[in-house]
Amino acid sequence: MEPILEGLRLVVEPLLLLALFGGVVVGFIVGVLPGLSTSNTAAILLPFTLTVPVEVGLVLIVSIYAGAAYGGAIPAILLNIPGEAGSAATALDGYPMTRQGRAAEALGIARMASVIGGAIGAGAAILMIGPLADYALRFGPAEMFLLAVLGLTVVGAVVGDNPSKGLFAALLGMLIAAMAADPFTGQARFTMGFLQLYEEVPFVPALIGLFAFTEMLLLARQAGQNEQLGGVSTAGVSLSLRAVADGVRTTLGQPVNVLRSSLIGLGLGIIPGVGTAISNFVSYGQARSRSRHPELFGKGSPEGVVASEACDNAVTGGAMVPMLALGIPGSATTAVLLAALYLQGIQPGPQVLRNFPAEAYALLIALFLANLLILPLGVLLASPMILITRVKIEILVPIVLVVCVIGTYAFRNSLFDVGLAFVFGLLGILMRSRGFPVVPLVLGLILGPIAEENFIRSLQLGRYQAGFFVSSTISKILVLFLLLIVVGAARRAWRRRHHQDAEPAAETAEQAESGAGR
Amino acid sequence: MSPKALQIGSVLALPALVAVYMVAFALALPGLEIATGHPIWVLAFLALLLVIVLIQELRGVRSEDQPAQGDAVLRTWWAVNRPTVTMIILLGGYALALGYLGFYLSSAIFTAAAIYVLGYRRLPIIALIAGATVLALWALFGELLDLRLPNGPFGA
Repeated sequence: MEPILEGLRLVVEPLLLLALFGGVVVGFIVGVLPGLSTSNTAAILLPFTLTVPVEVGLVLIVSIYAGAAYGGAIPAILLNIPGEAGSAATALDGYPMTRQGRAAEALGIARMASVIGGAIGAGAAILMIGPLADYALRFGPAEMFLLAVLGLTVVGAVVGDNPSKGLFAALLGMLIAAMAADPFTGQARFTMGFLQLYEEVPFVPALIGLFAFTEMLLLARQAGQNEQLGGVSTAGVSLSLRAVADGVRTTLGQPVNVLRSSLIGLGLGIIPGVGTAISNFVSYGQARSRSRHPELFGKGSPEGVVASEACDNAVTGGAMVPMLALGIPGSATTAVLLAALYLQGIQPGPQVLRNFPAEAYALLIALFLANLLILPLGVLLASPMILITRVKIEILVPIVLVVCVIGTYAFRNSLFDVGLAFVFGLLGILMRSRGFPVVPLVLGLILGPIAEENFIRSLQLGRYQAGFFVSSTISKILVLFLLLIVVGAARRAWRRRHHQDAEPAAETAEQAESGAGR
Repeated sequence: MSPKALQIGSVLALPALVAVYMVAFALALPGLEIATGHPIWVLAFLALLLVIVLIQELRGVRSEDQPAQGDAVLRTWWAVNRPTVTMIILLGGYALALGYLGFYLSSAIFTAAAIYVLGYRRLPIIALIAGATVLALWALFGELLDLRLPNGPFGA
């Protein structure tokens, strides 16, 4: 209980409350703007967070995370454009409600569901983190190595359509991370003479390049197309407080749906790589299958909006658990948060609650409070947020790019870092244009050095015997999980290939049949 | 250039780049003492996955319909990606110019040029946005956070 109170004491500092408030507002804006995702914004703000006290920077990122999870619902409901992946299912019923003239009610529902879901997720994370971290203290270097490899494999195999491409990206990240001094001998490994790479590939330019540059440069393709979307669709929307309050009451009248959706979000958020989009649809599907009126889903059912939004915000709490207790991020944003923690000198993982208990709990308490702030701020800022949906991409993209470039430079006063971010941006564009997911590459960059360090320590402890890696029960279980995931990924890839082969064959058969009938 | 060759080229671009990077990395290893073999097993697994991914990608090209004329494919690609390509060139130029022109000039020029290139044509508004962006960033990074901004002919 003592560390939780310590964490609470940290958060109630005026500066942190200001960061919390500011973070939720920025999160709303980020969520509302399609194309500017939470992970991108967290990456953009990363250099800034390093210039303020540790707690302030971290609170800022988690409150953006919570704010964006709700903010994404606004364009999903008003424009049928999910601002965040986690709001995709919200659009299915939220937009039909807008077309029926019930936009304010839908926003009220989303707001309340986000608050309750987010509070349940963050509250459960506060309770779970202690026991999990206690158990994780039994992890030695071999287990930590296997855990890092497991995290990379899970994310590589689950993120994206093709497990081979995900795993390829994860290993590429590990190889890029190895472009540094050998931790064992101190010799520079393929640093190409750049002293800046000797310690490690710097996270800030890598994250800004892979997330922010890539996203903005790809978003540039939509320049000139957004004027009609925002201007026309939201022009006639009015938000009466009474209708918003009706929405809030509607959510409160569905306690089972809210609780079930929140628990689904929490549970799936804990699994690295599952992501908000998947959990969002799982929760939506569950709500529909258990509803008394499944026929209304997709036509403006409040139950659908509740299920999607409660789950979306609960995921944020779930994703924090493996990130803090095991050092394995559950989502792209927690990957950026993980990098921020490392840069601030806090090493997440089993030791985090022993070495930084107040900071770890402060992070979760901030997430809890940020979720509670959604309700009052959501009411206050509803109308300005509608205006933000009308921001022109041709103005947004250049401004964000300049902020990214200057933020990258300011991190170490280095033009090399700006160049490095540019190179990572090009890599990100190449990868995304051919369907290679970027998140596993980022995880490879972050977890690669951890895997290597623990690999070396395990070899030394085990006197260079491979058997040391499976000497404990925990490591045997981890290896078993690893094998299951690899087999599952291979099965998925085989099915995908089989499906692709079957489709042209079926088409040919259909053509033959239609040809014969003629 | 034939449409198939264009398709194969686009499919092979990333794997080829990664393959060159891996070979260069591998060639740098013999001079090092590698007690643990860490980058070697990463390289080995990556090479295996590169082959798998290449096979998948080339199978995909084979099963795709034969596209229209090569120049038509290029024209469509250019129409869709022109803003991205232009922005990449502008961003690269901005990154280079920062060291010579400094923060104020290069940021203002980049912001104005990028907004114009992306299709916004109201010049007074463009100038206003470019000026406001530079001012806001100077206030945030230079004054509030007391960070150094890239130097140029005007001292900052």
